[in-house]
Amino acid sequence: MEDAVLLKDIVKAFPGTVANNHITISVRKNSIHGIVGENGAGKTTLMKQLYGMYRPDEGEIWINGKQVVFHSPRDAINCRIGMVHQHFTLVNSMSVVENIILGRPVLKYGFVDIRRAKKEIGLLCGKYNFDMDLDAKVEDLPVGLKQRVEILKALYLGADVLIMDEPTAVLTPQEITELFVTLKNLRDQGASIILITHKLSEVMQLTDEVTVLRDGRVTGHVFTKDTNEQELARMMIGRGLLLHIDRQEAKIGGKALGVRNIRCKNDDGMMVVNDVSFDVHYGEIVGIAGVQGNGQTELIEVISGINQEYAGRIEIDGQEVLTKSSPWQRRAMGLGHIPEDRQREGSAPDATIEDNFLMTTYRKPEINRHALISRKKALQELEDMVREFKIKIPGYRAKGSALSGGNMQKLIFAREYNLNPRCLIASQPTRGVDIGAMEFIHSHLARMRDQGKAVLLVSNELSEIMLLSDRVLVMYEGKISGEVKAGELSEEKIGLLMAGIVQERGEQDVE
Amino acid sequence: MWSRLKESNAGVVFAAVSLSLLFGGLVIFMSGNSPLAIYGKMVQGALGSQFAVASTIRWTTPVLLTGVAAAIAFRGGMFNIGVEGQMYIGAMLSALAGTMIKGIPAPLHILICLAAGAAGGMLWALVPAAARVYYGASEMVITLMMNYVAINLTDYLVKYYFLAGGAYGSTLVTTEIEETAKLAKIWPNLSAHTGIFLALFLVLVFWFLLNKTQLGYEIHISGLNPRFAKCGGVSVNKVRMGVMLLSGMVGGIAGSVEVLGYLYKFMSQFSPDYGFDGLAVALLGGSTPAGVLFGSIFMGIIKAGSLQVERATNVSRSLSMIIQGIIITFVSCKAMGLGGKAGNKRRRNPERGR
Amino acid sequence: MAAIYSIFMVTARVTTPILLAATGGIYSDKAGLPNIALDAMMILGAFMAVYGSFFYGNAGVGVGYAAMAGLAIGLLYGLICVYLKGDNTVVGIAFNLIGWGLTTFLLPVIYGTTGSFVSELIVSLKKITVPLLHTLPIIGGIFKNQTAITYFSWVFVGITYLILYKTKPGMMIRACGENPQAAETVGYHVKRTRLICSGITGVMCAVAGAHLSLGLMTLFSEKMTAGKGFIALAAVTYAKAEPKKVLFISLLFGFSNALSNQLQLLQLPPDLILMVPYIFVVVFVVADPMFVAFQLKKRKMIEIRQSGGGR
Repeated sequence: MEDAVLLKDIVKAFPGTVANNHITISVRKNSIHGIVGENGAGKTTLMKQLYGMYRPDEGEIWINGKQVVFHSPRDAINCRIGMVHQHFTLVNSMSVVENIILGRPVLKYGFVDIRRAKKEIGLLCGKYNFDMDLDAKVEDLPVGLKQRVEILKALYLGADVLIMDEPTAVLTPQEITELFVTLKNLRDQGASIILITHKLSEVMQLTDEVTVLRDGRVTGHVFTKDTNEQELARMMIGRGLLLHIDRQEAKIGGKALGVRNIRCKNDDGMMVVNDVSFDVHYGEIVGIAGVQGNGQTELIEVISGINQEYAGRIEIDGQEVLTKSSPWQRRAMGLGHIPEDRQREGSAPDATIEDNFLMTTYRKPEINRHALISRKKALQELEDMVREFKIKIPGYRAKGSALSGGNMQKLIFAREYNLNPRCLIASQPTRGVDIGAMEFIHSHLARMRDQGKAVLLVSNELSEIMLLSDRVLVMYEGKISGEVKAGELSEEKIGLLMAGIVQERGEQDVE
Repeated sequence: MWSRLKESNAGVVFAAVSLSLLFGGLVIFMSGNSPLAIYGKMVQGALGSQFAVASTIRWTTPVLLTGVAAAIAFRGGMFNIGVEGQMYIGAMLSALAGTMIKGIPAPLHILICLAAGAAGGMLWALVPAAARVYYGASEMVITLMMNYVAINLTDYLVKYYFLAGGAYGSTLVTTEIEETAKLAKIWPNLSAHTGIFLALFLVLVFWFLLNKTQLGYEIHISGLNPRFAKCGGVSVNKVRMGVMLLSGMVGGIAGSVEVLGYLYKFMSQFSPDYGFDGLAVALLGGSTPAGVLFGSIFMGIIKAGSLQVERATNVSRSLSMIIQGIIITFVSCKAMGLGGKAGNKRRRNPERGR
Repeated sequence: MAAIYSIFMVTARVTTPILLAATGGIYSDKAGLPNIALDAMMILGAFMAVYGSFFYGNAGVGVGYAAMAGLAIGLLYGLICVYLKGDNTVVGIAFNLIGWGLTTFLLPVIYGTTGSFVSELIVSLKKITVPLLHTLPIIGGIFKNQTAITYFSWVFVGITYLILYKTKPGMMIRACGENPQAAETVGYHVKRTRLICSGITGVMCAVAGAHLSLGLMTLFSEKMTAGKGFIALAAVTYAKAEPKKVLFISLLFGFSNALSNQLQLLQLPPDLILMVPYIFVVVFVVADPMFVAFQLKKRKMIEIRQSGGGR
C-alpha cells in the first residue's frame, strides 16, 4: 500500500542556513506520525513545503503514490492536505462557520449562502462528534475550541492528511487529552496525521511512528512502541536532556517581593487579575504555572510597573512600591524583569546591540551625568557582560535582529543581571531559544537562587517550572488556584490546578 | 557618525537618487526638453557662480530647518506633517515682534523675534501632540489639517489687522521689520544670509541631542520600539510630547528665519512648500542629522538650479518636487539591495529566534 | 425651507469627492494596505479629467481618462508597497508630493499656463435632476442638479457594503486585512488581493477628483484638492473602514464644507470661513478618540475598596 505522504530527499535553504538537508520521511496511511526536533531543527519549514507555502529547492513530494508539485496552499488543499498551525489562522471578527468555509465559501447567485453552509458544517460536526455553536464569533471562543475550528476548517476542505504544528502549546492538560482523543478518532476514521512537536511525552502517548530531526537532517526513525523519551532526546540533541539541575538545599531568607490583593482589568473591562497575593523570599525560586491567558501576563505587567492601573499593594524588601512608579523606579528598588516577548518588549530589533543594552544602564550615575550619557563607559559594561555570558554577537554596532533568539535572550538576561537585582522576574525566559542557551539560563537562574537572590519564574512550559521551582503557584482565571511545594510536584496535580479544579480537604470543584 | 550613515544605507540612497534623476530626466524629456541640458543648467544655477552659490545657501536654509523639525518628530515615532503650518505661525509672530518692538539693539531684537517664532510653532504643535498622547488621535491628520488652518488664519490676520498698505497696496504683507531685527547678509546684495549658521547650529544640536543625551536615547528607542521603551521605564508619552513640541519649535524658527533673513516681513503664502520639502528631506536622510544636512543641501541645489532653469526655459520649478517624491519612493522600498538585506535578516531562518 | 433645501443640495455636491475617495479607500484599508496617497490620486484624476474633457470635448471622456490614471497610480502604489515592500506611509507621502508636483509642472507644459487652467472648451459634467424625487420636501435637494458621479457615489457605498460582507471576494479582502496568514493558508493570494484593492481605491479617488474639476468647478488649479484627500483619509480611518460609518462621517465633513460655502455668502471674512472645514475635521479627529479613551479609562478603573482586608 502506498504511503499517504512521501517526502523524498527534500532540501530547502535560506540565506545563511540550510533548514532541510536531504530529508526523507514517509507517512503511512491511517497513522499518527510524529516529527520531533528542537526549535530550529527544520520541522515547520518542512511541513510548510508539504502545505505548499514554500517550494523545495530539491527533492520530491509524493501523495498517495503520485508525485506532485505545490505552488501554493491551494494545490496542497486540492491534494487533500490540511494544516493546523501553531499560531491560529482564524479571522477573529468572523463567525465559526464563516471561518470554516473561508477557503471555499458556499455560494448562491454569487452571494455567500450562510444557511446552507451551516447545514453542511453541522453534518460534518456530527460525523466527528463535535459540539459547536456555529454562529459564535471566533474571538469569543476559548483556545481549545478555536483549535477545533481550525481542525474543522481542514476537514471541510477535504483533508485526509492532517498536519498539526505544535498543537498543545496553548492547551490545558485536559484539553490536550481531548485533542488526543479527537486525533485518534480521526485516524481510525481514515485520516493520516502528522504531529510536529518538541514535547516528547506527547509523542510517546499519541504517535505510532516518530521521525527525529536535528539541524536540518533526519537523525532517527522509530516505531513509538520500540522507543522511549531518553532515546528520542538523544536523537534530538545528540545527548541526554538535562532532566534535572544540581541544586543546593533551599536556604530561604526574608521576604524579597510581597504582592497583596492585586486586581486589574483589561481593555474590555474584564477583571483579569482577581485578588492575587503571594511572596517571594530570598534564596527561592517561585514558579507561576498556568496556561497562557489566565492572567499571568497581566500580573507581571502590574508587578513590573508596565501597567500602573491596578489595586493592591506591592513591596520590595519591605518598602512599598508606589502604584504609579515606573519600571525604572522598580528596577532601582531591586526588581529586575525579563519580559515575556523579547521582540516586542524585550528589545528593539532595529536598534544596535549597544543601544539595546543601554536600556538598563543609561540611568546609572556612573554612566549618566547631568543627563549626558557616556557611551564609552556603557560599552565597557556591555563588553564585560558579553564575555561573562558568552553571548555570540557579530559586533556592538550590529542590529539587534542579527542576534539569534538564544543570544538575544542571554543579552536581556545579562542586562538585568548587570543591575544586581534583589528579585528577578523571568517571564517565559526560554521561549523559542536553542537548547544551549536554555540550559545556560536555567543554570544561571539556579545559581542566583543559590547565591541568595529571589526569582519569580513565569512559564507556560510545565517542565521548566518543575525543573527550577522551589514552590509552584498555579494561576487560573486570574486567581491563584493552588500552591504546590517542590517535594510534592507532579504534572497531574498541577494540571488539575491549571484547569481550575481544586481538591483539598473536601473543598468543592471550582469551575 | 559615518558608520551610521553607511548603515542607513547610503548605497541605497545613491541608487535611489540616480534612479530618480533618470525618471526625472524622462519627465523632462516627455515635456519636450533635453534632460542633459536641463540638468546642466540646474548645476550651473546652483553652483556656477557666487550668485548661484548664494542662491543655493538661501534655499538650503529654510529646508534645513524644516528638515530638522520633521526629523526630530520622526525619530520619536510621531508624524508631524504640519511643519508648514508651524512655520507660518512662527513667521507671523516673528514679523510682528520685528515691527512692533522698537528701539532695542540688534542681537537682542533678533533673539526675541526668534523666540516668538519658536513659541508660535510650539503652540501650534501642542494640539496635535496632546491629542495623540492623551487620546491616541492621529497626529498626522491633525497636523495636516492645521496647515490649512494656519495659512488661512495668518492671511486673515494680515488682511484685517496687520496690513501694511501704503506702497504695498492690498498685497497681503505686514510692514517691514526694524533694521535691528534683520539677519545679516553673507555677501552684500546677494540672497544668502546668516540664518544658515543658525540652521547648521541646530543640526549640531540635533546630533548632540540624539547621541549624547539621555533624552536623545529615549527618543531614539521610543521611535524604534515604544513597548520596549515603556518596559524599560521610559515615559513614552513624555517623549512623544517632547518631540512634537521641539519639532513645532524648530518649525516656528524656520518661519522666523525666513522672515528675518530674507523677506523682512510676513507675506501671505510665502512658503513654496518648505514644510513638505523638509519632510521629504527628513525621510530621505533617514531622519539622521547627517542625512538631513546632505539632503537639504541637495534640495537647495535642486531648488536654486530649477529656478535658474525656469528663468531660462519653460520647465517649471515644480520639477524639484517631482524629483524629491521619486527619490523618497525609491528610498522607502525596503526590497532595494542593502536596505532589503538589513530588513530581511529575520526572514533568514523562520524557525529561529521567535 | 428653501435654505434647508439648498443646504442639502450643496452638501450632496460637496460631499461627493470625500465620500467617493473614502469609500474607495475602504477596499485598501480592509485588505490590509491603508492607502495614504488618496490626495495624490484625487488631484491626478482631476487633472486627467480636465485633459480628457478639453481635448475631446466630452466630460465622459474626461472621467474615463481620470479613471484610467487612477487605476495606474493605484496599481503602482500597490506594486511598490506590496511587492517592493515600501513603507506605505512614506510612499503615500511621496506620492502626494509627486502628485502635486507633477500636476503643477504639467500645467505650463500642456496648457501653457501657470497656476490654473480655465477654458470654455472644458466640458463640465451634466447636472442631472431626478424627476419626482427632487420635489421631496427638505431632502429633495440631494436629487437636484447633481452629477452622475454623485449619484454613483451613493450606489457605490451600497455596493461596497454588499461586496464586503456578502460575497466571497469580500470575505477574501477582509481575511487578507485581518489575518493575512489565515488568508494564505486557505489559498488566498494576499499580495494580489491588496494590489487589486489598491487599484480600486485609485480609480475611485481619481473619479472623485474628476468630480472636483468637472463637476464642482470647471477648471484645474494647482493643488486644488486643498487637502480633501486627507479629509477622506481621516474619514476612512475613523470609520474603521466600515461602509455605514464612512458614509456618515463623509457626510459630516461634507456638510461642514457646505456650511462654510454658505457662510461665505454672508458678509463674514472668507479666510476665517475657509478654516471651518479643517477645524471641523480636527475637532472630530480629536473628539472621537477622546470619547473612546474616556470609555476605556472607565472600564479599566478599579475602585480601591478596603485594601488588604481579608485575604
